[in-house]
Parts: sequence; structure tokens; C-alpha cells
Amino acid sequence: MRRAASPQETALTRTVRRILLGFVVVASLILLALWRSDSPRLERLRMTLADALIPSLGIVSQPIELLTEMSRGYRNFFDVYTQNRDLRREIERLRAWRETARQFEEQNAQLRALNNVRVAPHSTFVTGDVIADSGGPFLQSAIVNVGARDGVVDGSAAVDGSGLVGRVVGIGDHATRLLLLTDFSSRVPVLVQPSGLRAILSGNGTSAPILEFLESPEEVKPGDLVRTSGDGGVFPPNLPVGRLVALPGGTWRVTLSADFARLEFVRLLRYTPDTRIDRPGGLILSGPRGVDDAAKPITPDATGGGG
Amino acid sequence: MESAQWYSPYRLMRITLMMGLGLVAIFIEAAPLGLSADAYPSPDLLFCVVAYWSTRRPGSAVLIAIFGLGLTRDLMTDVPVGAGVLTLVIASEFLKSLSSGLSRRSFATEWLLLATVLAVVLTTQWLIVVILLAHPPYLIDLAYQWLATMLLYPVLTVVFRWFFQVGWRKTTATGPGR
Repeated sequence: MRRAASPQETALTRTVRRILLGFVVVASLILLALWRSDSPRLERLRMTLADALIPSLGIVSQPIELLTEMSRGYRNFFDVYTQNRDLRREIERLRAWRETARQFEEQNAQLRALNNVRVAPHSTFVTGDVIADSGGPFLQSAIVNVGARDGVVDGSAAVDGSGLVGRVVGIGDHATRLLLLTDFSSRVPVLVQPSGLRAILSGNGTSAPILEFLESPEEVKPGDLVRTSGDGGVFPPNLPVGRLVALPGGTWRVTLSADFARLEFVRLLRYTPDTRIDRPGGLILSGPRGVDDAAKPITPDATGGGG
Repeated sequence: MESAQWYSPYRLMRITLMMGLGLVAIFIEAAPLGLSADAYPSPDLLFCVVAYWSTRRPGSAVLIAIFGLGLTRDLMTDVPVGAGVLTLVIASEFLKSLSSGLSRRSFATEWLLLATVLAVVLTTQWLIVVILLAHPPYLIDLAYQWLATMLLYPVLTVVFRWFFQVGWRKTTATGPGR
């Protein structure tokens, strides 16, 4: 049986609710200010939450991914005959290349033995599974299930099998947040080949980011290859980014090489820039702390492997 | 017999259910269905859960619980942190105040009201981003999100009503309800 609330109880409840509402509004405004100022505390809070929710996220996202894959597979079913024919042709072509590669490998090994060359260590990477995306229209970001425990460092470049995807902007112990190239706040220094001109690739919320600050637009043409320039020391140079597309009005855009529609796994690269003497005393003093820290090797137990 | 006290086990169960469904809604919103910039934005499932509870069971749509869910969503997805939770909490409080009147109206009226509230919520978030001189999203994407959410709301209503047995209160009390 329902008990009628007394007038005092109702008044007290209302007062408490108003105080709580005021508290919530103030807390939200403080959070908004922290968000706008790109506070590292907020990013840490975000990544702590991501660390805690990763197991639950996986449980929900796996069936959804499976359904998406099934729907995609159903659509592809009708193209299976054509795909099969193309794949057989591709296999024949690759077999010929494999033989050529083996011959080159043997030749290379013999030359190295002759010259006693010390090969530079391979650049290292960690592979992660994309477990969450930003969902809505405000931001283009993704969360990957590898983190600081696996050796990921802030600012690392993220690539898929075809090209650059974005960069690391937040790290938790078990999770990493990537800012995709398509996001409004993404800026990447790039090089247009074969002209060698430098420019900045600016995300604009579409699948074809804009090329800005191109010095001599008359020297480039549609279809030119766009790669990272390595300027700024955040990204390694020569990572494939995409190809140029001309728009009316002299605007240049880049169709990205990475397949964002089917992005399931990404590689997070560990990159240490070359030693540069760009300041007085640079030859004597060691580099900044972050560079030394980044140079530490990845532990062998890094999930997803590395290479 | 249910008690109207705040610690009623039925009420606590409904609060827990709302929080559980809210978390599932956030996880579904965050599931990687396509990272392409041209992909359609996910519907605002958390809004559907909160709006349903605020209208049907305002006493169980606890302010702090909704604040926690909204903040989790802001941090896990792309909504500007603070703006999403603020608009969600205010929308919930507004819908709670209309709960008694809505229970006597048709579902079409409820749908129209919620469509208007969601449009105001999304527009406010967009305006906050503009005022803070950040990059606002394209309005067409917000329109897609609004449409997808409102098309999904009747389906979720059926699920909440018939699967979880959460419907309108049987009587309208003078208090905040359960």
C-alpha cells in the first residue's frame, strides 16, 4: 500500500534535489572547462575508465562486430565468383614475386656477409584490436586494447596494412585512445611525391582531409602520393597517407590509404627520431627525457605481438 | 505491497536495471561499427533509456545515477565532456516534471515531446561547442543521429515494457513517484 508523503518530507526531498542538481550543474561546467583546455587530468580519467571497462566493452562489442561482419559477408556473397577469379590470378602473380624475393634475400645475405654490415634494429610496433569508437558526430577517435603495459607511448603513429590511421592521444595501462586523421583537430606534416613539396594534412570530419600550406600547388597533380614528412619528430617519415584529389577552387584533398571502414586491428609504431643538433650545447647534453624513455625496448609479453 | 521509501527493494531493483541498461547502451554506442568519417553516427541509446525511466518511473531515475551514466558516456564516446552529461541531466529533470501528465496522453504525444527534447539537447551541445570555439560537428550528422534515435525509441519502449516489465505507474502520487 502506498504511503502518502508528508508535506515536510516533500519539501525536504525537493530541497535535497535542488542542491544535488546545483552540484551536478557546477560539476558539469567544471568538466566542460577541463575538456576545452585539453586537461591531461581529464585524459587520465578517461583512460582509467577505459581500462576498467575494457572487459565489458569486449563482451558487448564482439557480438556486434560479428553481426556487422556477417552482414558484410552476406553482401560479399554475391561477388564471390569474381573475387575467387581475381584472387587466383593474384596468387599466380605473387608466386612469381616470391621466387624473386627469395633470390634477392640470398643475394642480400651474401653481400652483408662480405661487407660485415651492422643492420640497424627494426622499428618496433604493438598490434592492438579496435574495441570502441567515438560513436557520434563530435569526434573521430577509437580505443585500442593495448596500453602502457604493452609499451605504447604517447604520440605514436597508428597504421593499418595500407597506411596511416592516426596517432595516440591517451594511454591507460590496458587501453589507448587514437585520434584519427579525419578528426577536426588532426594535423599531420606530409610530403607530396614526386614533387617533394611539404604541406599539412588537416582533418575536417570527412573521409578526405584537406591539404593546407602547400607551397607551390602548380607543381602537384591529382593522384600524387602523400606520405608523412617526419617533420616535428612525432611520426616516422615515409608512412603512406593517401593520394591527392583536386577540387574546384584550387583546394586539394587526400583520399586516405587506410581502410577506415574495415579497421579492426592497428599497429602502434615506436619511433625515436634521429639525433639532431638543433640547439646550443645539443652535442654535449643528452636529449629530452621523453626520448630516452621511448627508446626502452618493448617487453616480449606485449599482447598482439610486435616485430 | 510496495513501500514508497527510497530504500524499497523494488525501487532499488529498478535503479539498478536502469544503470545496467544505460551501461549496455553506452557500450553499444561505443562499439566499432565503422570508423570511416562517412559512417552514420550511432543513435543516442542512453537518451532513450533515461527518457523512458524519467517519464515512466521518475522516482527511479535518480539524479546521481544519471549523472554517473552521462559522465561515463561523455568519457567513453565523443560527446564534449560536461556538455553531454549536463544536457542529459536537465532533460531528465524536465521529463520527470511532466511524467504525471504524460501518463494520460497517447504514445504519439510522448514521442513528439521526446523528439523535441532530443532536438533541443543536440542543438544545445552543438551551441556549447560553437561558443567554446571548438570545431562543431556537421548539423546533418546531428540530424541523422536525432532521426535514428527517434526511430529506435518505439522499439526500445516495447522491449522495456514487455521484456523488463517496466511501465507507467499505476497511480499518480503527489510525491516524486517511484
